[in-house]
Amino acid sequence: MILFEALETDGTGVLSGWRIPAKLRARLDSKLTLLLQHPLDTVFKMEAFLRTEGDASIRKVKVKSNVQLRPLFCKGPINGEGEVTFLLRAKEVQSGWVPVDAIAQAGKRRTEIVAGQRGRKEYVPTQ
Amino acid sequence: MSRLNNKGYRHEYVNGFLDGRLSLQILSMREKAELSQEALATALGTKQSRISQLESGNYDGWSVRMLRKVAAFFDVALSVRFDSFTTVLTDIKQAGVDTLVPATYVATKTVRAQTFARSASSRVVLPPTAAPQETPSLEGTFVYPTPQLLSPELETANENLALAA
Repeated sequence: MILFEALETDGTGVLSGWRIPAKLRARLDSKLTLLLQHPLDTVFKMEAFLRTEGDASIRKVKVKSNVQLRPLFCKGPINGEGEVTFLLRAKEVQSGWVPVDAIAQAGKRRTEIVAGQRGRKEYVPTQ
Repeated sequence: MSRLNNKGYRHEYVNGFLDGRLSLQILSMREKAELSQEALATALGTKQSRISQLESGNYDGWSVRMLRKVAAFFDVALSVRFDSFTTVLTDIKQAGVDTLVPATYVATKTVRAQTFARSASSRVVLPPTAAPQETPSLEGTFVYPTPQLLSPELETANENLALAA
């Protein structure tokens, strides 16, 4: 399993370029390690990796904290079973998304990656 | 430089992984046993919502008492201990699907018994020091003969010896 992160327009990775406190980063990285080490069909049964409403191909990592971090990702999209790609930095605030159109943006980025219009790179938790 | 050099980071990372891994283990053991969350809840004397919480991947309120209940129900051992980060991080690197659902005591005993049955032709119960070297020992140095070769008295005596070791 390889974990990729989409690149923002400034060239930073969606995950590695996200300015979040160290403890939040650690919680996120621990979930990403779980994702890397187990079959997706098993891990996806946990609430921590639920599908989003509106686009079944986009999932969120639920990181428990005061700031409801919800990085959005998808399986593949190029090698379906062997990789996941993080698409967008997002948060949930009072049952709403920040940014408001987070799911749509993530879906758009997924399409861009498949079309070769958006770059991505590997993300290794803890490094 | 590794983020693990930050004390706050490494503690949260290890705790977060433990929370997620425990959730995944309970979920996987329950599914292997073909039990619903409701059935497991009933067996453990709790509610379905509690099992859902334990399997969420984000639960961090574990109690040793509850974990012992789960371990007893699935007949697997619970291991809780303090360790160095070196040890735990190595364990995390090696954690995978192979160790997600541990073998039950009975399953371990059966595998050991089959190994013994292949290499022994008599009904002799081996003493502790006579365990074959090629068989990795998980519960001390006893080798359990196949259950059908033992009388109930011998089996009880063998288990008592194992408990006393």
